[in-house]
Amino acid sequence: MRGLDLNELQSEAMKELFNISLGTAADVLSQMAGQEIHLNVPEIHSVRRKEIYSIVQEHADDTVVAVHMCTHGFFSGESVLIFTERYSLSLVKAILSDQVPLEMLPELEEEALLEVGNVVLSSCLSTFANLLEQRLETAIPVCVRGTVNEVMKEGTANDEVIFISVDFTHEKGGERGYISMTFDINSGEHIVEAVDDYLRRSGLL
Amino acid sequence: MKAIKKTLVVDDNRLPRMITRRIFEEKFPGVEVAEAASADEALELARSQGDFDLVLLDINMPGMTGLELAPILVEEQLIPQICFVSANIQQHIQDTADELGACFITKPVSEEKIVKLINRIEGK
Repeated sequence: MRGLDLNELQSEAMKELFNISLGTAADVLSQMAGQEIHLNVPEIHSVRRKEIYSIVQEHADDTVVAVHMCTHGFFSGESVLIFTERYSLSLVKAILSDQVPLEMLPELEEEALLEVGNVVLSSCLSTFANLLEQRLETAIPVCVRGTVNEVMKEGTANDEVIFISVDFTHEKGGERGYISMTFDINSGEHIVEAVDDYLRRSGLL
Repeated sequence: MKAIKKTLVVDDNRLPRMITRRIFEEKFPGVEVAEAASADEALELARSQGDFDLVLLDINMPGMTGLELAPILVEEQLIPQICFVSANIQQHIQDTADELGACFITKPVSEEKIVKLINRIEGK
């Protein structure tokens, strides 16, 4: 991973840590939707913000829903969960259909999306922090809609971004979503140190 | 153990409040449920009504957080049983819950989790 200056072992460790963390997030998402949902990480990219477009070609023109959550602690920055509007609507329907009267669905859609983002990002980030034996504070999430480039337009083109492709799969199909993590200049170093400590505890360093 | 008669559900998002209320109405129809959309509102309700047995408390809220409200509830002995409800499962959060004598359930709330919690509090 270029931006983070990770070697091969550190890079593999990061992928594994995110897979475990997303496993926790998948579990809570499955509970919310009342159906089994798997989240897998096929690719993790460490890129500049301006390079995101080349990764998301498949969904470049789709309207996506993005839930932003700021973090402070061993890394400070912003994490964003991104999925297509179509998939977000099917998730919201699955989550709300047994819980609230049908006529309230449109009214609650925004809050349901925020809660999905909150729960997925919180469980993922807190598991990630636990695995690295670090501490992370999370802020109140915010939900926005637009193309991937529009929802990721905050910040500067050269910001380092950990951009994770996430495959959401369930019994009736699947969808690709993304999690992006932007962090401040000192955080990259802290993340690498924490990953090395993790590798040491695992007897691999 | 004291039976739960009145519960306060605190979450800035309406959805988990509605789901929790529905679970109580179905599984514990005798329990009165009040809602607060912020920690400040919850504190005001706890101080003015003073007869809640249990608070289900979200952690990550605008303004005062659940982690900041809980020690006040303990200090002023406003609500005897505190239960944090959060997707944030970091160890330090669970340690804080332990230090305050509070319970912790993970989001999303479900019928099973609420039933287990109430049965445990009531010693069933």
